[in-house]
Parts: sequence; C-alpha cells; structure tokens
Amino acid sequence: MSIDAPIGAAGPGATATPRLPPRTRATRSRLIAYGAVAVVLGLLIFSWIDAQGSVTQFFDGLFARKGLFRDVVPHSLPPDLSALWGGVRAAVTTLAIAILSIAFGLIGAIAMLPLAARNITPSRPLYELARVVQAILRAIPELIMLLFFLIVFGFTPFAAVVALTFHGIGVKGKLFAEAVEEMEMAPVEALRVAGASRIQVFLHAVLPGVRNTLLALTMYRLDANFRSAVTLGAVGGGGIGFLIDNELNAFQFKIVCTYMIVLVVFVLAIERVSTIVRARLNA
Amino acid sequence: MGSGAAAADPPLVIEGIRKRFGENEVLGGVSLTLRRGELLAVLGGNGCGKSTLLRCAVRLLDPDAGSARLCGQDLAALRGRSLRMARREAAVVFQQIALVKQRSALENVCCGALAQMSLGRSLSTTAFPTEVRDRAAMALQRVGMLDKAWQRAGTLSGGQAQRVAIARAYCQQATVILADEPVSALDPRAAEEVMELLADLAHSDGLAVLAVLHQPELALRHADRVLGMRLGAFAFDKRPDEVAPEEIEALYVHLHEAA
Repeated sequence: MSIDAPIGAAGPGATATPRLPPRTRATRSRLIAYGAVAVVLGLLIFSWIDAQGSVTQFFDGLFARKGLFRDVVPHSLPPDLSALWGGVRAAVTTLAIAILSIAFGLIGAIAMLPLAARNITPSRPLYELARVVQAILRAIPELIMLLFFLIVFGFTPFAAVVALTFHGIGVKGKLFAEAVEEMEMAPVEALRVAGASRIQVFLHAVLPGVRNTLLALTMYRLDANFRSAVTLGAVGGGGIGFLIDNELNAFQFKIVCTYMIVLVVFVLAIERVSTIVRARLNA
Repeated sequence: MGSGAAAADPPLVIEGIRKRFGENEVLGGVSLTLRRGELLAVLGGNGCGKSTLLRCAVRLLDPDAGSARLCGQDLAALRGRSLRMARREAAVVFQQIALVKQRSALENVCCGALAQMSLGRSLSTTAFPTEVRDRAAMALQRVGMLDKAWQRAGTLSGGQAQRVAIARAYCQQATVILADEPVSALDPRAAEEVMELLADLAHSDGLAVLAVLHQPELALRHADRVLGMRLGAFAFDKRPDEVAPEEIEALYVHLHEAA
C-alpha cells in the first residue's frame, strides 16, 4: 500500500476487515453476573419493605404542615443565644470524652500491635487471638457497649469514655496492624540480626517506622470519635448530646438550634485541626 | 572487635547447607569458611542462592540441612536468648537501606548496641548509656559520617545511608559483616566508596566481611577472595587475580541458557 493511499484503501497486501476472535467470557460467568444483579435488586427491595420505606412519609415528614421545614425549623429560629455558654461547656465535655477515649484507645491498640501484626507476631495462634479480640470489639457498636457501661459506671461521661475506648481499640488495632504489615522490614531484620530482643525491635524499628502513620490514623479518628461521643451523650453519656436530647424532648427548638450551631462549629474545627496535623505528619 | 567465645575459630564456618523452596533447590549443600581480616565477595546471577546463603548463615532462614557456626557456635542448636546473643557477632547490611528513616543517623547507629543494653536503658533513645553514644560517634567517625550524626536517616543519600548502616554494624562490635548487595542501589562513585570502606574494615579492623555482589569489577578490585555461585553450588573460590573473565561470564551465561 502506498503512503499516499487513503486510510482503509485496499492495497496489494491488504486483507478484508479482520474477524474478531469469539468472546472468551463463558456463558456461566455471564449467568453469574446476571444472578448477582438479581440478588442485589432483591436485597434492596427486601430492605425497603423491612425498613418500612415510604416515599409519601418521607415528603410529608419534610414538607407537610407539621413537617420539618414548615413546623420545626420556623420554631427553631432565631436560636436562643442565652443557651450558648451552656452548649459550649457541654461540647467541651464531649470533646474531653473524645480526646480521652482516643488516647486510651491509642495505648490499647499499640499494646496489642506486637501480637496483631502478622509480620512481627511471635506466634500464629497469638496473632489469631489478637485479631479475634479486635474483631469482637469492632463488632459491638459503641452505643450497645455504653448501655452496659452505664450499668457499671452510672450515668457519667466516663462510661462513654470507656465504651469509645474499647470500640476504638478494635478499630485502630486493625488499622495499625495493617500499617505494620505494610512497612519495610529491612530495619526490623537488621536489628533482629544484631541481637535485639522482640521488645527492643518493636520500640526501635517497628514503632518509629510507623509512628507518623499511626498518629495520622489517630487524628483521622478524632472527629469520628467526637461525633460518636455526641450520640452516646444522648443516651446518658453526658456532654452536648445529652443537652440536645433533653431540649428536644421539651420541644425547646430554639435552644436546640443554638446547640446545633455549637456542634457544627466544634466538628468543623476538629476536622480542620485533624487535617492540618495529618498534613504535617505526612510531610 | 567482637567478644568471640573462641577467638581461634574462623568467625563463620558454613558446612553442607541445603535449602529448598518447594520444588526448587536453591542451595545444594555448600560449604565455606570466612576468616578474620578477609573480604569475601560472592558473585552469581539472580536466583543462584547468594542471598539465601547469607540468610541461612545467620538463621534469618532455617536451612534444611547443614550447619552455620558463627564464632564457634552452631546457630542451629540455639533458641531464644542464646540465639540472639550468638547472632550479635554478625551484622547484616542490606541492599535496601535498613535504617529507621524517622530517626537520626546517631540513633540508628546506637541501635546496633541494643543487645548489649538492659531493657530499661533501651526503652528510649534518650536513655541509651553514654558509652553507647560515644561508641556510636566513633563508628560514625570511622565511616566518615560524624558530621551527619544528627541528620534524619530519611534525608541521607543512598551512599551516606549505607555508610551509616555499616557504622551500626561497627557499633554492634560484630565480628562478621554480611553485606547483601550493599551497592546495588548506589551510583558508581558511592559504590566504590562503600566497597573501599568494607575492605578497610576487613584489613584494618580485622573483621570478616562477606559481600554478595552483582558487580564483578568491584569484587575483583576490592575482595581478597571471590566465590562464584551457579545454580545453588560454588563454581569457583579463588583469589581475584586467579579468576579468568570467562569464569565470571559463565556464571551468568549459564543462567540465560538454562532459562
């Protein structure tokens, strides 16, 4: 075919449009794909029915005469600023719950780390045990844990601290173990050969190697912990969640509005601090 | 250097070590003796068993058969603390930089002496004994890195980091240095400097140095003995001036043909 020949023009060596080889995807795998779509659709329909989903109820709840935007919102404005200081004070308590539970959770997760990371664990059974304990702590929601701890510790913010700490050990423990499993092992092996003990290797090769990652993950969890602390507060854990629940029950929407403003400001501020610290750690 | 229970024994004696990964026999019963004041270079193609030999020598891998005697102690017979204590006679310098990047060069070098510290003194780098810090400073001076003592390891160049890793081995007071492709990630100048340093540690400080290399020219220039490996066995073990170019070529040609 000459260089000047138009694209697609048949030359001496040209052949007809090539035949594509038959698709290799088997009928069986196509059937599996259709089956998977059918199962997902079935699950969605079941969930809608089981959760009593209702389009009418949704729009009524938001826009009807007694709905959110025509009844609750107008009764919430303007916010009652006389409740501002009380709201800030309670939010500080909620923040204290979040900070304490993060700190204790950090200690607990690091303490489990030598067992829970596959590449440094002294034995497979201990590794499995540590991972099972973490999975159980993760599986029990903080709210359910709190219900138990309220019985043990009474209606105090400390019960929320304990609940969030245990749940946090489960969550952070898994994240931390994964960070260690992905770390470079050369510094660890170098110290092992140098005769360092397991504890020394952990303290001087493993922990410094993943320190920034662990702190970044912890900061990432701080705002999540604050939001969880608000929720736990509503069921007896104290702080701003407790005040919001109380005032909602008393239909004091203007005060609730003030608390919501305080809550949003705190969450945004914590998110901002968390982002800044994580950016510095990753630098 | 090195306390060495039996000073008269060669620091490292490997006898009939075999290692198999699944169907693949990586080491087919090799033996060697490494003497004090000697730099032994091991050459061979990828997968010929060089690094496996080095790892079996300090029981980072357990051999299927054979023994490795480090300063007179059979590592296969040891467990736990006694294995740790015996193993501190050897230091490994890896191809990839095995330093904790977030810590200073000095702190990394101090960690070479962890096995000689009590747990209480080794909990934090600030609690390290003064004599360990002094020894680390001397080690850094020995490798020409004293002026970088407080620099974070992560900010050092490849050649500088490898020197710090060697200083850590020096601070460990090891009798044997096992270097697994220590210059593979370095530019030619830095590679030359690191090899000069390893040779100097062998000749001036009396250490026994085994270096796995992929650069025949460096091996011939700096080593006292060159050991050629092919398919899990030793092809030759000679002084550099006795090694013929075709013998080195055969180490690699053979592998290509086998593939």
